[in-house]
Amino acid sequence: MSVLEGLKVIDLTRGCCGAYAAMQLADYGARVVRPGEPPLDPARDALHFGMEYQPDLQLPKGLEGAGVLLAEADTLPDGLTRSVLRAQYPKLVCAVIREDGAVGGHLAEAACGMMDMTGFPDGAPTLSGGQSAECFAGVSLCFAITAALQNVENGGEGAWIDYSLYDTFYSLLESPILFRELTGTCPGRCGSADPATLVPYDVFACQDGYFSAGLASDAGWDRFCNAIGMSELIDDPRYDTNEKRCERYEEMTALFAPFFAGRTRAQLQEIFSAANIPSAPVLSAEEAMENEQIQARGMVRQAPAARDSFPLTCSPMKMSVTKPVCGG
Amino acid sequence: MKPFAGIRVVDFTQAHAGSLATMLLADMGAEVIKIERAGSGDLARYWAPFRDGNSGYYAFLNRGKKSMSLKLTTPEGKEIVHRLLATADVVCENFKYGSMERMGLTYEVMREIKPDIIYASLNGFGQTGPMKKTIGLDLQLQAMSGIMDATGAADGDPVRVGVAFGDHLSGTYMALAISLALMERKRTGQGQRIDIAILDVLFSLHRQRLAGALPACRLGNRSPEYAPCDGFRTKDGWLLIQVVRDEQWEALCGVLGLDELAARADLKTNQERLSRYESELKAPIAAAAAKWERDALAQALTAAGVPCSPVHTVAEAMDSPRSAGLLAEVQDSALGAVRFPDSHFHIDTIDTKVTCSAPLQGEHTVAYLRELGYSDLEIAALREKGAAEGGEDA
Repeated sequence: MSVLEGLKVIDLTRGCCGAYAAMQLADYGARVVRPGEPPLDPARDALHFGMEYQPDLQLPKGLEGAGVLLAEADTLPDGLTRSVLRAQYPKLVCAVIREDGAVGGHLAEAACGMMDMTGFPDGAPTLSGGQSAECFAGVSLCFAITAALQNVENGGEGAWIDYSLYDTFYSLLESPILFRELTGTCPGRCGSADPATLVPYDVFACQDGYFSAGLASDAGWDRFCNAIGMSELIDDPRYDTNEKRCERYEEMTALFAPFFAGRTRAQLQEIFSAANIPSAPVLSAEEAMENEQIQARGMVRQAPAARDSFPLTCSPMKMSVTKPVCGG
Repeated sequence: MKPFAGIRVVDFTQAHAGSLATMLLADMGAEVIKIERAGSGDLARYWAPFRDGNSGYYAFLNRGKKSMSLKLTTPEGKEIVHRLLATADVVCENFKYGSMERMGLTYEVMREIKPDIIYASLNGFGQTGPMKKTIGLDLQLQAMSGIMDATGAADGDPVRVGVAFGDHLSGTYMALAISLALMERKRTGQGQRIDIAILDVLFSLHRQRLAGALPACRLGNRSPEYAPCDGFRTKDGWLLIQVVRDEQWEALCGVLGLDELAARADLKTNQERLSRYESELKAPIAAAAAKWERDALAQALTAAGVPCSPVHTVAEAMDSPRSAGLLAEVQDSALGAVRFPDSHFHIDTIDTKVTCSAPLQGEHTVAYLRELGYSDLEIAALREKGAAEGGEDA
């Protein structure tokens, strides 16, 4: 029996954040009910996999017996205000996402400063790929929902969670915010590197894609130089401390790049692993799915579907007692 | 009322992700007792930015927690931890694989002391699998998980998401798992072992793409569903434009003076615009947007009903009215008055407002030793030996 069995969730959301919050609840046994017809192609609707569609779902009647209501502000039916819902369903946990489900997440990512932190310094500010930021927001919202459910179990009232993607993404920006608060200056986007803190620590183009390598601290510079066949750099007074290397980031990058450009990801992996330097190939999602660590961790299953089966990522919460339903 | 009031967390986490998990629990009322290594303390105490040598990062991640400073390699230090574990509901750690075992603090040992303990671990690759002993930095985990490959322009290089994304996501998942485990304990009386890997949490985000619902390539700032949706450079900054309805397309053309495009019959539907965006729409829109100032264009488009947002720098976002109230103002014991992101949860029946300082190293050592039954004489001996430190004034 999964831990959320017996919990009914009414999910009116259209966007990724709501879907991702509902998905966690469904994975652990909640019965998630959505309005409308089930999708013709379940693969296109993978975030709602295993949820129930009710074409004739009536609100507020459908909230009878529900523990959670999930909606975006624009999908919440008129009249279902906080006070109305609290009066009628005093134990209900309502989570209402302020931004709309279509483009609200992207606009919030732009407005709050997060988009400006992603990308190369001389290039465009960039959205997180694959709606990652909104997925994060969904996990975070789910945490708040489970906390509120426990408040109810402990004898407390229901909850109205006024959830904002803007506020959620803004909360990811502690580093630049703290820098501005404490030093007066705010660092900008810096590609995949961190030239104010660590050099080498970057992604380099190689023969068959991209490869990441870097040091976690000042230690290991000699191993890095030996690995790339440039032992003459080890004691070069221009580069022999991390601080000096940070000041000469561009110059260092130009020195390192040819080594990577001439090799494949597999060759680089072998060299850097042998040298015990943190490194990894840049993998596509499809490549990552085949990776032996991902496989060993049981991160992918096949969804049973009427026509073609399709791969479905599994819950990353590996717990010894509490298990997701159907291997979720 | 706070949902985790009365829940005691013995917290061996340090640095970012694990500390973020226990931060979320503390914000929701849990009593989080951070066990810091005598002498050096939490790694995050050495993270910039600083004020007078004290880390702002530590202050943010550890607000509202308690601190005991212990030498876990001594028998006396171990005994203190054992006594403390007997009173704990949850234990958290995010060391590299095998570290807790070397200190004799395995799940099995803890379960002997407290049978229903919830023991949560978090690190780069997890507690199982061929790479479990590998050290993963944020860069490597973003690279391997596929999230970096999915971020960046289609015709450009992949790029990491420019916040500590793996740390935030894995820490949040750890807090969620602990929350579920607390529910489980209430239902079945059982504790359990939780194993979170940063690689897993980042990889799991590809559900839509691997199922075939999102294209298997990076799209930069474009949408797989709607066009035109993209970021455009203006005279003084960038603007994100998101056209999702046909009338918004007409309005966009109206504001930008793109009459020829507006008149074209083969651009009336989203599907047509989506297939022609790169070849025919992107350049003229970019050229028109480049003649505007960012905020003027944002205002004109908003007035015309076109969804858009300026791409704010963090400094601009901090100064904007939209961000009012989003920073907690805390009187930190080490830094003095400091501001950092408050809890982003606004819940009418749960007060999540952050008001408490992060602890000084070992600030609560003596108070907890007394609670655990140590006499003042014994406490003095522990401090003499270096097994426990801090809390002189307690």
